[in-house]
Amino acid sequence: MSEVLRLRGRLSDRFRAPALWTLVLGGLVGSVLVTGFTPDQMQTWSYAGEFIRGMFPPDWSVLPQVLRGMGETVGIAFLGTFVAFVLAFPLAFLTARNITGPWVGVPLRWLMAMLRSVPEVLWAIIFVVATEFGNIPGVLALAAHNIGILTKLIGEVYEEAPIGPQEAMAATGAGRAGVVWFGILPWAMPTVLSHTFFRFECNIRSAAILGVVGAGGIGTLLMQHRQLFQYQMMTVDVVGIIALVVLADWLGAAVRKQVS
Amino acid sequence: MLAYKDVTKTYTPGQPPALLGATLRVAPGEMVALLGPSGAGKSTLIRCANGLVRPEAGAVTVAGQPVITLGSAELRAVRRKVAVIFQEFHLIDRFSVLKNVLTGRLGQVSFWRAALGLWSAADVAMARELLARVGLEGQERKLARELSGGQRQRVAIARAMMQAPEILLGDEPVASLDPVTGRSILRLIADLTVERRLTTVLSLHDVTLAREFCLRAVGVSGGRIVYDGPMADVTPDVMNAIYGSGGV
Repeated sequence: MSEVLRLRGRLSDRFRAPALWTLVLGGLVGSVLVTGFTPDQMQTWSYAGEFIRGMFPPDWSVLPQVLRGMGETVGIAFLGTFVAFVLAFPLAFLTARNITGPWVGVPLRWLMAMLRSVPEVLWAIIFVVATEFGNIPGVLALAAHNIGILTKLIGEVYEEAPIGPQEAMAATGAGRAGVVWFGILPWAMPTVLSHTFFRFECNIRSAAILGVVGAGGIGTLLMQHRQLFQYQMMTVDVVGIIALVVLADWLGAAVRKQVS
Repeated sequence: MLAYKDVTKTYTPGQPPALLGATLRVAPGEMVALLGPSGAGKSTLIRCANGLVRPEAGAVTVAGQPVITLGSAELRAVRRKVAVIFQEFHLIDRFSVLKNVLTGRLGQVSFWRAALGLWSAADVAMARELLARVGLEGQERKLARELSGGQRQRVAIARAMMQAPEILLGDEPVASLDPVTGRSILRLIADLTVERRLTTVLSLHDVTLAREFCLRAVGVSGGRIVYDGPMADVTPDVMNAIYGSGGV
């Protein structure tokens, strides 16, 4: 029975290999036609050498600015994650199928899906246009995208909570709030925090490039230095971004180890 | 007093009912063993008594109040009088033993006081007394997950007594414990039943243990009550009726 289900919708063996080859070759030809990516385009690589030579030696005089930009980037990521968590934590009670009925849950889950389907950079462009250049639209962009993600992740943690302690709390005569607070949250909290710290880690990476569209942080410096052809300063920006990403990885791993 | 009259429950339409016309009365101070094979309807019978399961027909009366027709606020009021202990204990693993016992008061105190940990001195004193009564004095600050199975069930019993219940239901309360520990837990439940004049109903799959502690047996098979009488009269023929020919 399960074998039948597993194979349903699959092509027979005779057709599978030709179908795969058609897909790969068709994709290759189609992509070259669409992008104009041909071997003679590789000529442009000769400029790359010149560009990379121009980046050295790095101009470390911008280091104070870069450090400040790094600090702003971490701040944007932290605030964006914090705002998202503060809103997502209660919203997740309303999206969890085992806590809230479909009349509230379904529209809210749709709204959250829309929030997270817009990438951070697009949110940043929207908020830069709607407000101003700087760190604020960066924070708002990360918050908007991450409310959608965290509400979904946290709501799913609530849904997976074992039924036993919830029944035990209900059996004492506790109301819905008591059942959720004592029957679900103590079990869910470590995973909820772990998800949130993981998003913080991702947000440091995202915040590093948000400046490219004018939403603050170290990306702003990268953009300025590139536009003014200050490649030796840009090298320091790139080093700063790499340092941030490494820091985020390390921080995330350390925190998750503590929480779990 | 706990009374069932013609209680019928079907989980999935078209499937055989989990309970069919079950009628049963249990008086205060009585400790009844529910016997029967897996899937016979023992858990459903127990869960009907506090509204965790709502039957489609019949009546369940707890301390003079009908359970089935109640709204949620009234149902909560009935649940305060009906304490339940479970096979897997269902404690909050990351809470201390004391805090687990205090959650037995959730039906009586306001949610905000409980959520903020503002338990009254009287409640805390009662929880400590109950922990001493179940033999866990000095373990108040331990986390529930640090305890053995038998100790966990003792915490669950203390939590149940924290409700000051009239009725105590046990859904296979000793099935996850070794025979020695299980016997000591049943001894505790039997003593509490007498001390507090509880109406106690336990589903037990270990018939030998059930014979030791319960004077009355109720046999459930295929959703029907097929035996209700003294434990002493549970003969091999009765066992056959309850468990089928493989029962003895």
